[in-house]
Amino acid sequence: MKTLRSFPGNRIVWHAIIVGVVWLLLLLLNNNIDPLYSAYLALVAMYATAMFGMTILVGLSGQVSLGNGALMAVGGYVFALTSMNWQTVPFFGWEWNAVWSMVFAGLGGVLIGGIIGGLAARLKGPYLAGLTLGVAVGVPAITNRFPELLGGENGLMLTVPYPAGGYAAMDAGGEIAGEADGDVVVDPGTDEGATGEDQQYAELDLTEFDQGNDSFAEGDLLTEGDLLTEENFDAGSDQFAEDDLLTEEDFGTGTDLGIDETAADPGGDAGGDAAGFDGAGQDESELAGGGLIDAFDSEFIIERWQASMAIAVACIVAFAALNLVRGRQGRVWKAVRDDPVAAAVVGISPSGSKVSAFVVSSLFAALAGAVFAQILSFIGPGAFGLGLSLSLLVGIVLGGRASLLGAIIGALLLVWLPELVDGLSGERGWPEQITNNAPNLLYGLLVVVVVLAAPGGITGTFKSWIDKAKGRGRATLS
Amino acid sequence: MTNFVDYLLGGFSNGAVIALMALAIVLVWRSTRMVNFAQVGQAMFTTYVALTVQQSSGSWVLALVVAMAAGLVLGIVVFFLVIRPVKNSDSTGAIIATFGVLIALQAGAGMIWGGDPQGFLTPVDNSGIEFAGRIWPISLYDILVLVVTAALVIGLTLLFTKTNLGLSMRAAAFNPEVARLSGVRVNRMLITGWAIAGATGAVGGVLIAPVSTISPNSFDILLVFAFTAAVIGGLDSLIGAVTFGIGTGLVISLVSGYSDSGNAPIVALVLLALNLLLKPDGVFGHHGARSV
Amino acid sequence: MRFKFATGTVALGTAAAMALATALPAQAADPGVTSNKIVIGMTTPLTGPAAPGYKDIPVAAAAYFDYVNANGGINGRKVDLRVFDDQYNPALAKKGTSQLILRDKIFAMYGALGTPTHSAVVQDLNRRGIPDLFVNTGGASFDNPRKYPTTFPYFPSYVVESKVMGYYMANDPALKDKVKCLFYQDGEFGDNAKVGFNAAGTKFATTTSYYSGQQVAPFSAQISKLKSAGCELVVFFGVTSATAQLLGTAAKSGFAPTWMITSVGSDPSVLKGSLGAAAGPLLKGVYAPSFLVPAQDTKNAYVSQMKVIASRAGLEWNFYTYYGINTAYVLAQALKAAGKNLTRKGLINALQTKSKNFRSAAIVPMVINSKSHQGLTGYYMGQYDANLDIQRLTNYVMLATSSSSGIAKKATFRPASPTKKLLP
Repeated sequence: MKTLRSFPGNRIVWHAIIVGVVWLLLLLLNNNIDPLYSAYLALVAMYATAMFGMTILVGLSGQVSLGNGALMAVGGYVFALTSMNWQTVPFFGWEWNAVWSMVFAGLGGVLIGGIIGGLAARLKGPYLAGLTLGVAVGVPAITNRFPELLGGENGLMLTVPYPAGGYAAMDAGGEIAGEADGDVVVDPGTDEGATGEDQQYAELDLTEFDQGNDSFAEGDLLTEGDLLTEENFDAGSDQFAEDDLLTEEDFGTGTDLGIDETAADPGGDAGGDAAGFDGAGQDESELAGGGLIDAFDSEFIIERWQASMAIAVACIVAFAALNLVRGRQGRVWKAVRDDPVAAAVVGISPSGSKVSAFVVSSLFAALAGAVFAQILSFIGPGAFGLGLSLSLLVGIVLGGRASLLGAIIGALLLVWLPELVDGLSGERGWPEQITNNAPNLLYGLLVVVVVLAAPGGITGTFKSWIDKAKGRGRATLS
Repeated sequence: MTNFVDYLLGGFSNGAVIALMALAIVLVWRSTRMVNFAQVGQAMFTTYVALTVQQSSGSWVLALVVAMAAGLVLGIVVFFLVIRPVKNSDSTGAIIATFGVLIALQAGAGMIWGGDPQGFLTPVDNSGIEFAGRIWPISLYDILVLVVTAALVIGLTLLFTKTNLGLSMRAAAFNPEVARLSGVRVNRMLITGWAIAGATGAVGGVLIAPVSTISPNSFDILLVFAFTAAVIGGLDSLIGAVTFGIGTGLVISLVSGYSDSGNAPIVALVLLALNLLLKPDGVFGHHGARSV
Repeated sequence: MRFKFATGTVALGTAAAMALATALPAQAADPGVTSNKIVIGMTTPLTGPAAPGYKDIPVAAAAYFDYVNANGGINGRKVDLRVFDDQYNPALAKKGTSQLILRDKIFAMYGALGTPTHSAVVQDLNRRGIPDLFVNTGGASFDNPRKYPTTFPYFPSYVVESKVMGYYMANDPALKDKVKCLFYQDGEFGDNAKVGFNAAGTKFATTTSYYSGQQVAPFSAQISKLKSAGCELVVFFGVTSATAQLLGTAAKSGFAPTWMITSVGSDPSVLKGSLGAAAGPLLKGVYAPSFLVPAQDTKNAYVSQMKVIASRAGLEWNFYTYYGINTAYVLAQALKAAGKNLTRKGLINALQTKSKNFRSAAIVPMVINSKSHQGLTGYYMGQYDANLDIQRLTNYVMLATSSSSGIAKKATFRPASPTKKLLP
């Protein structure tokens, strides 16, 4: 132990070992839990990635940001746009893959973070909050200005680089990926946005409805006789009788008509249908989607893939964050937060320190946004609104600001609290108006309660307990 | 040119309401040096209370008075239950707590009054005034909104500059330790600040309701514009909040008329960024070290 | 978080499956179907800014399924509808859909609301082969059987609607010579409207728009712009809460053109709530296309029966309640037509081959086959009266596709009568 500690660069080695072990444990966990929990794990890892940046920005550098959700949007959009439009890396000509999209998403985050950080470094407290609030609302609004490129309010559907065989492609080229051999590769860049112009609509066959006469005549206006009443129904084949109508008189109590089940089955009609559709009949060939559905490889569990991708990014970011936080840069950020004047005296640039914290947190947010885009297989302003930005701040405050562990706990809380309140406010037979709003009411109250009960966040409170216990221990010793 | 005049007139009453919300934010800032995210939630809630009063009594004035009283009470309740316990130990935590209060208030309003938007009657005619042969996009009601806003601003300014209470409040907010030593009951002053802010927001809610309809989320975007106005104005300045609140309303109206209303949040962001670049403490703000 | 370690369960399950393999037929049953139950999922906003109106749809659908369940179910199975509140947020829609698929083990999705929200889940639903029925949006992008073979829209799209409006404005002698202007909501509404009017060849003197988040800023600037351009007929493409503001602000400015609004922008119950007594006079004479039998037409066998179901469940009779019961009725018929041995493929097959026989309160034809999943294909033109009831103006309907070319065509369509007691 001692020899390892004294080894040069030992801190980085230790961090690598810690992160590596956690990574392995998480992958093991991911492969052994229900896919639903893998889906949650993916979200936790994604939130944690963004919140490592919040630890640095809010906790270490002391800058409260209400806009990191918008920085996630930057990463998500860069990921989507580069993966949809670029086949090769510009200038270098290397073949494009998802890792490059992540790299460019990170670069986008660094760029935007640098701009906002440069502005923000001059600002204090609420003015910074005001600016970042503007960012949180204004940046998603930009997508509406460029609907051609950014898909507007409806967003963009992107081609997620699932491993081969994992995804029976939504092949926009037209043909259904029909082979069931599980070896279908996603055709990159074909799956353009929901409003893509390439979409072909089948022509309507109007011959049965068409009047043939396309001019607007006086007699076309509706008259009383045209109203569709029950007497007016085409009675030729339908034999609609008065007592076929459902009326209030049909009911005793509740909704039961008091007819027995066999009588509800009109004229053996369903029996005929059932025979026709049983098993793999001749109708099967008409099912356009048959091939696609068969091509779904049931061995590939998409939630596991999403979680392992999100975990990979979170672990790499965690490694970088650990080294920054526990290294020289972490001390610089703290020094400027605690006393900018003293820091300047010893040669640290306060504004440089603040900008660097913004850039790092923006990089992490953008990477998280790129992960989010892949989890959603979609990117749109509605997923990156003010709510997301505020959630990140809620998470970091509840988890504990000053430590990376607090970021992880905050990420867990963001995913788990909504589950908890859903469970608590489940079906109770209350009126719809109450049932619908109960989860939000509980969530809001829980946020308040956690802030009241654990003022320094959960890790902060634990730390103060431990300190107290230690202090008591020392007191008795001395 | 007539278009320009129309756009300006149309933006005034909307700007007045943004100004009232910005005033509420400034009042809270003055008393506790923090931003209250629940401000628009409180205003929404008290506006529903006013709606209930108006529907049962038919009186707009009574509804306004009840809303102000409810705003006062709600401000005190939020301060006592949420802000006071956390404020001293953790100011960022206090901000997050107000966000929790906002979510809970919106859900609570949804539970009590349902989610569908509801209308609010105006006490005076809300149709455009006919003058010089044409109808102008400003009504008696808009004028009422402007008059009420002006009265509130004058009243609050007098309170803070001419009365003992106001001076004590400023002292308590600016330097609680010194104020306490000079015999000011600091806690009572902070509560008073939250109460007055709650009542001011309540007036804003009642005034905007007939124009925008009321639903649990209908004031959400108002928070952003009001906060922007308060920050540009300098957070400490009543006149700053009013000036830039009305200014924001005019900008939204002009942008909507001449280009596209979707540009309004972007223009607001750019103006905010430029302003903070030139005046990091806001236009009417005082220089000096200050933190959240 | 409660992690469930499933390894043990999987091993046990495998053993059990091997033991049963000899006893069961080779074809495995799809998730969500048992001999007496069908689990159906829905994501829709129940809270938040997008909830007004739409939150009534799942309750109405559940009321219809309760009625069907109490009367023998569908081929002996009871329908169990699970609803997730996505607050119109694509990220929540994704999370909710994962829960519905993995926890609730749904057989099919039904009535998922919104284009951005559904865009985040449509690929995954199709990949898993989960039927995705009657997506609740006028966005045309989901009608694409090659790309989304399991997805079936129902609502006639906004492109169809704008083509229909364009056709009607060009042919009605009372409207065709008026100065026409367009006022739209940014985003999907506006994009689709422009595509449709472009195809229809409608020329507007001026266009203006509003931002969908712009709830507090009244439309006075836009109204001033329309007024000074001399607009005589203004087409408004937006949501109902915006319609209320529009009519209120226009009245204030003394601007009284002929209005034409969309079918989703004109819910009378919401307008009545926000405009109060002024709603009647303001809405009288406003043109709006529609596709269902008018909701106040209680002589109609669909309306009268659906109203009975709503009132038995204690629901307010409005457009959303009506729409919810109507799509639930069509879903029930599709499930019935899929036969006793209910499978996902069987359901999709039934929709593609038997939908012509499905009954509904729609008075426009429904087109679902292996080439097109368009769903409803057109509108009739209606006009509001002072009671906020829509009155049908045309005895024909106008049909169109969602493609960026082609105009609406006039057609006659007479729907079949409902099934006995409105049971599938």
